[in-house]
Amino acid sequence: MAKSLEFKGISKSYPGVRALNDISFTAQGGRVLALLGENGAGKSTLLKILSGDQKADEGEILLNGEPVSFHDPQAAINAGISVIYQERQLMPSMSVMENLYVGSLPKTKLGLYDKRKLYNNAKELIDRFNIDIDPVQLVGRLSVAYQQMVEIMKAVKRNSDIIAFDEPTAPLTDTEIKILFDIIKKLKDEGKVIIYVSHRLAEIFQITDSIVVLKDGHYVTSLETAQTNETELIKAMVGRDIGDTYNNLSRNTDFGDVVLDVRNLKTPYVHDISFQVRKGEIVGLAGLIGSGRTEVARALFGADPVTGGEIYLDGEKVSFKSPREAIDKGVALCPEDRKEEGLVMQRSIKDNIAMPVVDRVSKGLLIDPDAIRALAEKAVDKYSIKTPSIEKISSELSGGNQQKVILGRWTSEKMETKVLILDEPTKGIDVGTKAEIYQTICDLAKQGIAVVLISSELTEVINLSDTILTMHNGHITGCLTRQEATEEKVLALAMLE
Amino acid sequence: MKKDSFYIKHIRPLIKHKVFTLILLFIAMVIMFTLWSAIQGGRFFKISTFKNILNSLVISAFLTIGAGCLLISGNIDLAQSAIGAFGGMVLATAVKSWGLPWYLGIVIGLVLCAAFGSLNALLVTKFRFPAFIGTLAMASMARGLMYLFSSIGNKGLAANIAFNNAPLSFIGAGSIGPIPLGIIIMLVFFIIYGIIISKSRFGLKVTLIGGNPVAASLAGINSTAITYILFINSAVLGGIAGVFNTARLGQGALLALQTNQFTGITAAILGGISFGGGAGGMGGAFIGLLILNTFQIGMGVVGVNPFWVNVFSGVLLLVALAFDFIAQRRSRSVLKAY
Amino acid sequence: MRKETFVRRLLRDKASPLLGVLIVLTIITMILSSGILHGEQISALFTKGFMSSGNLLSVFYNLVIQCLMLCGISMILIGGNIDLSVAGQAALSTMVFGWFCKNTSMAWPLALVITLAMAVCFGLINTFLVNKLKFPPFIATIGMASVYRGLCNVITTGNNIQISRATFITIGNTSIAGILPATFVFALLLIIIYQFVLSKTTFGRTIYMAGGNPNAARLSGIKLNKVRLILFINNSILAAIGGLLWSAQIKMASPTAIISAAPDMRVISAAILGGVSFIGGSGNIVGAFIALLLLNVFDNMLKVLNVQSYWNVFATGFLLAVALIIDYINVERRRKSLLLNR
Repeated sequence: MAKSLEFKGISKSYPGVRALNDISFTAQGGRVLALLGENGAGKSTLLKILSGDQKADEGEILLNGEPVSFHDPQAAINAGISVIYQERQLMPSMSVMENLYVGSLPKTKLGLYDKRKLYNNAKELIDRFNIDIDPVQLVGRLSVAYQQMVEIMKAVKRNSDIIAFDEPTAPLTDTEIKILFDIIKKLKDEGKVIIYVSHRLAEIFQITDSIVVLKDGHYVTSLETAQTNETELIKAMVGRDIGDTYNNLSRNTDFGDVVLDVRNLKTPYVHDISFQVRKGEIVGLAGLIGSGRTEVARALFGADPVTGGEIYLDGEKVSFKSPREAIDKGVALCPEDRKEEGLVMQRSIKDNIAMPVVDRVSKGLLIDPDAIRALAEKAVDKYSIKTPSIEKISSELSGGNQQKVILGRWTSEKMETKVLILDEPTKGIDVGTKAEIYQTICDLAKQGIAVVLISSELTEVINLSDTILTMHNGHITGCLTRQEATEEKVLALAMLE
Repeated sequence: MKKDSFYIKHIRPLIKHKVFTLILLFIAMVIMFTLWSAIQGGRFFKISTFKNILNSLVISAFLTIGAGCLLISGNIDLAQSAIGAFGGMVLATAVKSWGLPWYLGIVIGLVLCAAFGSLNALLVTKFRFPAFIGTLAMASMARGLMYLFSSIGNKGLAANIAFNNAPLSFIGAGSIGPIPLGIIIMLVFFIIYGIIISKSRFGLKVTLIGGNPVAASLAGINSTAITYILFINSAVLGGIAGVFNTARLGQGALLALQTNQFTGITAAILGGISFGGGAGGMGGAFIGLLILNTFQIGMGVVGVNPFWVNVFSGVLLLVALAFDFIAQRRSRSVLKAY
Repeated sequence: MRKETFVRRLLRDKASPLLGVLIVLTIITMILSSGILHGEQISALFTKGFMSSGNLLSVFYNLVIQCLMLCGISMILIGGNIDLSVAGQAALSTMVFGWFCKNTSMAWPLALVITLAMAVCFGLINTFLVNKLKFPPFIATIGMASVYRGLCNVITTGNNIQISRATFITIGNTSIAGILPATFVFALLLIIIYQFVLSKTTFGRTIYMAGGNPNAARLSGIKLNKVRLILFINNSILAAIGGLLWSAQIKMASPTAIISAAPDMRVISAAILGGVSFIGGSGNIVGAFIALLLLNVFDNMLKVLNVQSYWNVFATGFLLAVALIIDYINVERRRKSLLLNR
């Protein structure tokens, strides 16, 4: 019986954003289908719906022609679907064989744990894949690659007909990738439906048979791997209607001297990072998830250790051992996750704005209530934060206003910010507020602040920045001016090995 | 932004404040006991009762303040009463066996308690011990060392160490005018710490750390230093409680502070200091402690078996926590190991 | 891939060095306490000091309640929970039993049943707080601990209750060859049984999974709430039996004795020392038992050498801290090596 998985008209919205819009395509058994798209295209959401973790608002999934619906992940597993995520669902202190048979450990006639039978079953499974793993070995002692293989074997053992991989090769070495691909080929030969989500174009051309491209939650096209090439793929992934959002911006064109000079920066996560930012310039860091942009930001801010290279601020060599040192020298960071890393949600706007400068709004040991109030009120006015009072609790603000609070914190009167690093400043914010924030960023540049902008939205990064750097796998792969840059060029550089 | 009216600025936050509810609870309880005792023919509502209540607060007060400050920052110290008992024993030994003057005994005791506190902080910051297990281990060590000091003071055998010392008796049980010295010192401490938590820059940092430790350090707040200060503070306040206990009893007791072990934490949580940090102040902690002790003494006046009161305290703690959890519904730093 | 041989596994087990230390410590104690260094005969090694029948007997009697609690607590810790109220439960159980024995003419086995039924209720309460009200186990059990302690005082106002039921006392006080108490043999049996359950039954393996990665366990169909219920009730029953055996031996129900001896702290420290991680999902009862023996021998060594026993209180906490530091170092090392593999 030919196996097939069909998505029909799948749509899903989250508050404020439409993640998937009428997605329809079919994946056939015995073939590997690649799911391609930039960040935010909707790939993860689709996988979550497939695995039963989320429910689609509209549309249906058909398994071998029959519509199915899952109320929880267990139901999807029972239906024969296995999604292998990047986060392991394994138990590190238990053996491989126990992990493989979680929830279905074999029993002897007396009802005892049948270790021998478990060992044999596990060995049989492992041998099918020709991998060298001892079933008795503790999972926690395996390398990441082998742990992933255990996950795959779990899926196979469940006799899943449909197996989806979410960025499986990210932590693997070349040899391990080869083993993985051998496994995938074997699964393919067994007639299973394989879905392969990845950014690595080289791999897609190696292992997949067909490609589905998603963009901004929409289905773009299906292509046969053998009949397409990189350029065509990239073109399909980008190209959208920007509208007037960026044309109406009032930008800064007056750049001063170099404020931030980074030379061969090296950390445990990135290497060979070199770039410069001038006064009033906006430098954008473009790249896909995992390319190391946030790690660069954190290293510049003193939040992560630096193992090599040099950083110069206004010509003076600096080395920050903590965020406090960076802040005192005028470097500020708006973190990626504003709820978990940025705001203290139960505290007021006032407290949040004053966070880095508590000592500067104090008189002696006590806080100067007038000073802190003035600081907050000025910030609220400056950024038009919609709130009846500066005492309002941050958790009650909208996403856009929360981001404005963080911006206000780093550009308040008591901060003398020279370099402002913004990590995903418009994530999860509605279109209207986004435009406001874009103008704000340009205004800050006009005031002479050097801005480093990290964003996964290609359009945003390209149209706001004066210079665009692309990163991939922990190093810089390209440098373009706004005039030179097109979405295709930038995406190509971001996917470059 | 429009200017807030007087009502919105001053009256409404007061009403919404947890402390307001607690004060109401306290008043309701006083009324209940007054009526109850009146029905029995006794009299709850008199000066001596309130004096009793305040007196009973003194030792627990210091524990509460220390526990409260730590809780606000998202940490917990289960070694506090053990460290305090240790401090009290050091004082007794110093005065009785080494013949030191009382003030020196107190200083040595408190300095040693501070050492314990910094060890606690070291375990929690450098070695990433979950605070509850790390401080539990420290509690055993502190108690062991307490026995050590006791045996030093008692020629090799650990026992209660009794002494006669006029200044210490005065500290423990004396009064200035009609008000016992202990109560005065306790109130002063509450007021000072209350100001520190709610109005000082240190206090704001503590609250921010408790609310979101990651965001606080990304905003340049030195969490490690503050954690050290708070653990040392908790230990020293525990020591002060121990010293008071020793002074009042006239002896360093092996079982000192055993009953107060969780009073500090219970009072703090009752008083609105959220378990997990980020909210609450000394005012609430004071009222929480007041409610706990009034409940205890009131029950005594009305003739309920005092041991039932212990049971109710435990239940009260659980109830307070339940409300806290329902209000927060999140897992935080202290709770992360589960 | 290296073969996971039995020998390699044994060498890596945390309990092996503990066993070594235990043996060394025991030998040292035997030597030092027997007086052979002062001219006594070699045979004194086995008759005097540590090995004297009086001393061994008391050591074993002390171990009884600890071993029972160890079984319960280890299972709970491995399953990813904790119970800090065991001492209180044990104390309250003996209290209730003693009350029935003194104030009614009920046959003591019936009183026993009633007490155990009450212990089951304790377990149910704990489970309710964690499962339904979503309390973190450590907080729920700390709160209940003071409730149980308070209830003890309510019933007896702090006094002890003499128990005079003949058979009951005989059970608690018989010993083989004057050295090995029957109750200790019972406790040993339980340890073996529980270790067996943990390593040889599917339920045992399920406990490890529930503790090791609750999320993954849940997604694989393991009912975490049910596992927790069984573990808490089991723990409460064991604590109750432990308390009862203790009171049988000292011929009275003395909650203050149990609470001030704080056997639960020692048992938890032993468990963690013996390899049972407080996070859950690893360790076993054998390792915990060896650690428990170690702590008790150390305590006894101090006593037999006439050293103050408070060092033991200190050592319990100190060793616990050391175990946790070693744990931390291991975790850090693993994390760093993972990072370098990128």
